[in-house]
Amino acid sequence: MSDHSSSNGLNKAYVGLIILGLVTLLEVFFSLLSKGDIISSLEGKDWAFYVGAFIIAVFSFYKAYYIISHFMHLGSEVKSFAMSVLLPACLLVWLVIAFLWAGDSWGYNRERDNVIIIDQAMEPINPSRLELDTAEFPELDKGAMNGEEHNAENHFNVKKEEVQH
Amino acid sequence: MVETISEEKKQVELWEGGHSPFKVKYGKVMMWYFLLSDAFTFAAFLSAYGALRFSSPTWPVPDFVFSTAPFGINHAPLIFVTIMSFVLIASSVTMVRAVQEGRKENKKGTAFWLLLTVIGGATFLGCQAWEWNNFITKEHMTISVNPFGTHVESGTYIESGGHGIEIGDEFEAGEPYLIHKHHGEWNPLKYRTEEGVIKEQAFGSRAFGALFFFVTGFHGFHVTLGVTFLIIVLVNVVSGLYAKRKNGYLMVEKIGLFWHFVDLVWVFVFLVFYLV
Repeated sequence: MSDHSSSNGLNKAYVGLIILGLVTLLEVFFSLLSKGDIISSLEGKDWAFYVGAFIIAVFSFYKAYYIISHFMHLGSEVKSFAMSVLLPACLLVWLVIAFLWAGDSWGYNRERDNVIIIDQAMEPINPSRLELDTAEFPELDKGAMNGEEHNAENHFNVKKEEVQH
Repeated sequence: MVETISEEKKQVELWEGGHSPFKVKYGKVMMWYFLLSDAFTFAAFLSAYGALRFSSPTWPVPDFVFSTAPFGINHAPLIFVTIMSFVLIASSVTMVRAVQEGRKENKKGTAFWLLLTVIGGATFLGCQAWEWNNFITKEHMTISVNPFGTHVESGTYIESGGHGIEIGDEFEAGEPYLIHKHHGEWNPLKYRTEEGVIKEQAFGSRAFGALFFFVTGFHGFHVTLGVTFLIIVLVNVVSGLYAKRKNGYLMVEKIGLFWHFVDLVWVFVFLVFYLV
């Protein structure tokens, strides 16, 4: 009986219910707060989103710790066994960082490509746009660059003709 | 010096066989390692969500997407899903009680708390069924069409519709909207931007629907499996099978680990899909 009760005599299961319930309520509160549902001036603010996301993530990890340690009793298993489960799970930290990083990069590339496509579609070709910065590529000779420019112009003209037809 | 050698010797002997160095029963060890592998699967899905969200220029706003509840309740952001979370937490707590009673070899107590856990799990599944039904039949979100969009610039509507939008209503960048379907036809509303260009509401990031149905569906599949196994274990508890084994209802403990894991995964699904 003693291993099921906390110091004040309340069963550990109900202590868990209160803790997890309260933390969930706090999470929802901070989520609504950071999205501007409670204080409308916070709506659409980037910093509010990031601060809110951080706070909510900390609460979620606390919930995860509580469930694993107390409900699943991993906290009271032999340490070497607990480590055989927890250490491999640490690889997930890198998984999350790497994928968010990669996703950010995909988004950047997509936006860059979109800008180029929109620019080409909106206005007649502006040769200065295609000129490479010679300071950045001093080894490139001007002739090769002009060739590229010429090709690009031809390409655009072909496209334009197709549209007219 | 002498003490450390004997300590090392003890450690070696512990792993030479005949002992249980982890002091955990085989079935429980394997359940833990299964859960570890399952955690990797869920983590992969959730990071896929994160990567696609980071790569998209706009993303559906969760407190707008998840703002409906049964009995005709609208504009109640996150309320229904919070109730769903409470149901799952409560069923996890009744599971803890079932394991406690099992360790005390209390057949009646174990069966009672297991029954409550089954009811909790089934209630959660019912809530999820309602949520899915609402998305599919009312809001027409599919795995390839996402009618939840977000404005990227401010402007003024020049068309009315979409449940409460009138001609002349102004909106700002970042404001979410839902494109409605009338008689099987999509009805994106036209608006004028501040520069005077006329545009119409664009569909939201297409990956959202697929990710939502796939990841919450995979979690719901785990809940379904869990409820099924809980019922089997409950029948075996009532029939007295585990009482004969005299091992403190070890099977209840193992299914308990799985059930807590389902709750654990929901903590992160809740975080990634609904809260952030």
